[in-house]
Order: sequence, then C-alpha cells, then structure tokens
Amino acid sequence: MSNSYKLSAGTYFIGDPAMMIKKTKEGDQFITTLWDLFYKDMNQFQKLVIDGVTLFITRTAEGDGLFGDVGTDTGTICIMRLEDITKDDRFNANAILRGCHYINVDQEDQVTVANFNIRFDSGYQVITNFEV
Amino acid sequence: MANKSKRPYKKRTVISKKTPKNKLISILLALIVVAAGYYYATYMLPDENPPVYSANQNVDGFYYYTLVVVSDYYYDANNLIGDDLKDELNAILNTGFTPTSYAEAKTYLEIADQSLTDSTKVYNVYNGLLVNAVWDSTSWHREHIWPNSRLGMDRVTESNRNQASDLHNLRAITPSVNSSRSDRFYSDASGENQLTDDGGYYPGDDHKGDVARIIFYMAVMYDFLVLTDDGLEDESNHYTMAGAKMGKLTVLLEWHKEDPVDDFERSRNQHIYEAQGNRNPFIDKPEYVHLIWEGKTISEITENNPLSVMNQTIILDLISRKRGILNV
Repeated sequence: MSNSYKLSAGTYFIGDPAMMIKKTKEGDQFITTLWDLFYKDMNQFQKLVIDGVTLFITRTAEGDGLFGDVGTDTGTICIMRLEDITKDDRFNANAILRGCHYINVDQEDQVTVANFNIRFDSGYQVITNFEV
Repeated sequence: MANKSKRPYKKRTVISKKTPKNKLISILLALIVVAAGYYYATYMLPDENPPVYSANQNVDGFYYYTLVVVSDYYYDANNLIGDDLKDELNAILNTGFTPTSYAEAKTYLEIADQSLTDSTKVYNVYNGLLVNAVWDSTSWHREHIWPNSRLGMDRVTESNRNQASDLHNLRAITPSVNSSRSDRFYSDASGENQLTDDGGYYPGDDHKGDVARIIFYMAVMYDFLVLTDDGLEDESNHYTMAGAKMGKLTVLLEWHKEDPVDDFERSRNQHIYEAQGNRNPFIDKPEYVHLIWEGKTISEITENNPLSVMNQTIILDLISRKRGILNV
C-alpha cells in the first residue's frame, strides 16, 4: 500500500512529532489530538490538519528506532512545513533539532510512503522497513 | 432560681462581645486548630494506601542484603558498595555479553515478553494488554524504556548492535501507547499510565518497578548514560552524548521499592540471559540499588537475624575452602 502528497515550496522538518511538539499544556493537547486521529488508521500515511496546522505522518514498520539520521521514540515520523509553525508556541520550529532531517523544497516536491518507507521525489528517503 | 439564672446570662454577654482583641484571638485560635489538623492528617495519620513490600524488604522498603556463593554470577560483587559495586557489575555484565541486532530483537521479545498465563501472548508494557506474541507489526512494537533519543547516538542501522538493541531495554508495547510515552522521562503519579504535568510519563502502578530496574541496568551496563533528576526537560541535546540522561532518579528509587520484583521480570531476565548472555542484576539482587544510588552500607540493609553478614562470609568461605574435601 502507498500514499503520496504534494509539498509546496518551503523548509520541511522530517522527524519524530515528539521532538517538534513542545511538552507544554498546549503542546500536549495538540499531540494527544494527533494520536487520536492518527490511530484511527495507523497503517496509512496520513495528511492531518489540527487547529489549522497541516502535517503528514506515517508509522515506522516496527516502532522506535533510528533510521539513518532520523530517530523516533513514538514509532512515527511526521513531515511539517516550518514556515507554517514558526510563530506557533506549541512547536520547536525555531531550533535545529537533532535526530531529525530538514529539506528545502524550492518549488514543489512529492513525498510517498510505501510499506512504511518514506521517499521524496527529490531523492531523500527514510527506510524503516528492511524486509521489502 | 432567678438569681442563679441571671449570672450565666451576664457572662455570656461578656464573652460574645466582639472587640478587635477578641476577634484576633479567635482568628489565631482557628489558625492553630487548622494547622494542627493539617499536621495530624499529613504526618500522624496512617497512609490510606501504604506500600505493600515483599518478604525480602524491611519496613522502609529496602531489600535485604545477601551474599552469594562462589559459583554465582554475582560472586565478584560480594561485599562491594558504591562505585566499586557499580564498576564490578559493569564488568560482570559485559563478560560473555553477545548483543543481538535491533532487527533480531523482535524475535527474542516474542519469547522474553511472553505472558506467564498465556504463552501465545506477549505482555505489553504500561497498559498490560496481552496481544498475539507472533510479530505482525501492529499488535506490538519495540519500546525503548531508556528512550532511543536519550541513548547518546545520532545514527545507527538496523544491523547495529549497541545500547539501542540491548534486549533488557526493549519491551513489547501497544503502538498508540508507544506514541504517547514518546521520549519522556519518568515522573510520579498514581493509577494507570499517563502523561504528567512536568513533561514526564507515569508508567502505571503495575509497571513502575519494572521500568525502574531496567533503567538501573542501563545506567550500569553503559557507564556513559547518566541517571539524574536534573535537566531532563531539555530536549535540544537529544541524540547527543550530552543528552544521554534519564530519570527521575529519586522517583525511580521509590518505584523500585513500591513495586517489587515479580515472576514476569524473573522469567524475562532468564530468557534474555539465554539470548544475549547477561542478566539484569537489579532483578536478581534488588538490594544493590540501595548500595549504588542511596548510599546505604551493607550492615544497614542486612536482615537482623543470626545469619549476619559476618556469619554468611565465614560460612561461604568455609564452603569454598572445604569444597574439595566435602566435594560440594
């Protein structure tokens, strides 16, 4: 199964949502909503809009781990456009976080998740499923 | 009769007069009563839910110290305390250690995390769900009890063998629970597993001792990992050595006492020993925690009975020396 989404120009964070979303009361509310929505169908690569914030999220094949330069303690990896959240206090959008990857999309890119492996048309990929 | 009834009436009139001085005295008296009540309720009344300690713990929850015989896995740790004990345990745990890869871990966890009541299921950490043991990638995932992001690494591969693939630190977990726990340090609460207001995570009453002992194992096995109460909220140094820290230590020390070692942990410890060749000492010898992190001496946690440490030492020495003669 695979799913693709178009990404508009901007700088994108690729990593664990728990790294990007602050552990504050407001951040906890956001991430709790995120899990409620995501786990309605945990096997799908999903585009979610929560309180006006758009993110793309997939689970990994087997849970926690470091996959190349991207790590996760939530068993999920999300993609968020930094320009959308730099002024939002719920996010760590103004810090360069470790265990995450950032890419610049000049005009447009496409991201596809198949068998829990993330591939950008521009070349970057995060492989979490080594059995396909 | 009339005279007798008059006098008390007059007295009442005087007492009820609300002068500023009387008002102040009344307020002070009320404050004293409230403070005394609070003190009594807080410090004097017995705890409604006192911790239930096991038979090998004293009234304060400290596990009793015992020595081990020559052939025991922990023999070289006999009579050691503090950093000497920690260093010796590090040497013991690394002797014969054959780490598995992270990819292989799930196969071992199918066995190690098996329920004691149903061998077709694994026992998921934090929520206690029993789910199909056979790996299907949705019933359970691998949880790092010491979070992956706090292990001091910034890049690994699936085939790497390191602190991230140590079986003692991995538990089967319900995927949505794994997401909720995320990279949070452990913090105190009560009841079911839950987020805590300080940015931490409470693993649940039935799991808090288990996770404490796993964290203690990691801090001894990998001596660059730091166990602390401080700086845990800072996530800017995750995936770096500076961020290789976990806690809260003081909370974990209490959980270790309040949720004693159980049969599931013992069974799991044995399975992992067979898989990767080392044991979690804090499951086998829970009293070592007090000697390493709580500054206790051996005599302070030795059960007060005729078989004192001194006697144990003499008996064990006798057994060792006479081994050839007695053929024991």
